[in-house]
Amino acid sequence: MSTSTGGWHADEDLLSRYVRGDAGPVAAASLEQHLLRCASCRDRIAAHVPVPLLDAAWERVRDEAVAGRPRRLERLLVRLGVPAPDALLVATAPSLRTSWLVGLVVTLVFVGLGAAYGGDRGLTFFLLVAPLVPVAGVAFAYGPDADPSHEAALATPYPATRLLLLRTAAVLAASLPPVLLAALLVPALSWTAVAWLLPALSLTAALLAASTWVRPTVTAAALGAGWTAAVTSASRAADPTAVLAPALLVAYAVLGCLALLVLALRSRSLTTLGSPS
Amino acid sequence: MRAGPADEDAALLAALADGDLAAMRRLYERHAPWLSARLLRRCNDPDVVADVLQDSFLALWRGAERWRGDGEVAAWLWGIAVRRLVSRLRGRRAAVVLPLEEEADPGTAPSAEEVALLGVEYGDLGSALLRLSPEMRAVVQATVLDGLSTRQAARLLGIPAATVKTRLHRAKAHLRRELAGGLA
Repeated sequence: MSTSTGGWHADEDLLSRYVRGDAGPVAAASLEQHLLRCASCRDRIAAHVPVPLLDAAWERVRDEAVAGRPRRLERLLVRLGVPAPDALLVATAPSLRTSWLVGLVVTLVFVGLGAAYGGDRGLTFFLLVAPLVPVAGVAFAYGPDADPSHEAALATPYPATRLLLLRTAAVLAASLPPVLLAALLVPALSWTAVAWLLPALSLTAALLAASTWVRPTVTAAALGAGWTAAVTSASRAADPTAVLAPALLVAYAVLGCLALLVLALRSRSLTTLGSPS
Repeated sequence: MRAGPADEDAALLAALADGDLAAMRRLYERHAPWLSARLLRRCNDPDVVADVLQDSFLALWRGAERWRGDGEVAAWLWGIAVRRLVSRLRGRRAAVVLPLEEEADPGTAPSAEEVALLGVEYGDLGSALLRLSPEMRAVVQATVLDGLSTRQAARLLGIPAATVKTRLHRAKAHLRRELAGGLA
């Protein structure tokens, strides 16, 4: 129904005459009916419309829309040096509220379990879950499985990658501190309380890079399975902290850097996460 | 899995209802340009048009206008915008212009080819509309094409509601005659 325009589209000349008010009554009225049904002509008319009017109206819409809302997160971000419009987009994304919640619930559950088991089993459990918390958070924050607005998130005026990284940073900021806190509460961890951050970050980077090809939830599941296998086999072999051996830490760092490089190179194809154009 | 434009609009509205400002930004980018162009043809004051855009999108944001999920999002948005225009123009008649410009001069009149192409949308109605006086066309546009009530059209055009009714009646009779009689 929405595309039955008979193959006809307004040409640039008609669009510009219409906006100037020179199109003539029949052409104008006809074009107006056509615009209601044709997204491509609606998009093309934008080039002929005065931008200052649109920008001025948008700024007032935005300011009014956010007036009176809780803006603590946004103010905090601005204080940390995030540009105000970016802070606003991060703070107003409902998917981030979900990732907060997921991060916190998961953390509380495994802290409880870790404390209950204690010793090596608690350690294995911690190493199993901790690095996957940010991965899960990011996977939940993006993509078709998480949020019906993913097209919206990726079609904002910002480059998609910029928004992606901004929201990833927000997820990390939301999910890492509680896990770090939990780590300090598990005595068997000692220095590994911090070392797990490296695989966590490189797994997250790998997730972002792979998301330019496949759905983030699929990637997250694969990464989760891989990590689980590694920790379990290390734990069977005797020492679960083997996954944090110095040589492996270097490998994580290299992997993470490579993933970020891939993301940078592929960022142009990131129009829709998990379904590249 | 790529969504069509209509699905995308619906998804954006759902996200907007959820409080996603980025979704509203995207919806604004998709629809504010053509809405403003169409509004500017009904009101020549850009400040009023900016106010109307603001009113319309804030009404969406605050949930005053709720999408029921059927029909075209664009047509629904125009319905909101044109009603906001009418309420903004209450008591500001100086800002109103006659919605359809004066008789187009030959240089800008639609070519035969253009009329034929636009016939996809309109059929013979287009030529018949051209033969209406500007006053009658304005009334037809406000009521039939923009979907306003008689009272709203009267407010938009700055004329009494009774005049809108009379002109609409005459315009319809004229169009019926033209369409029934066939076109030269």
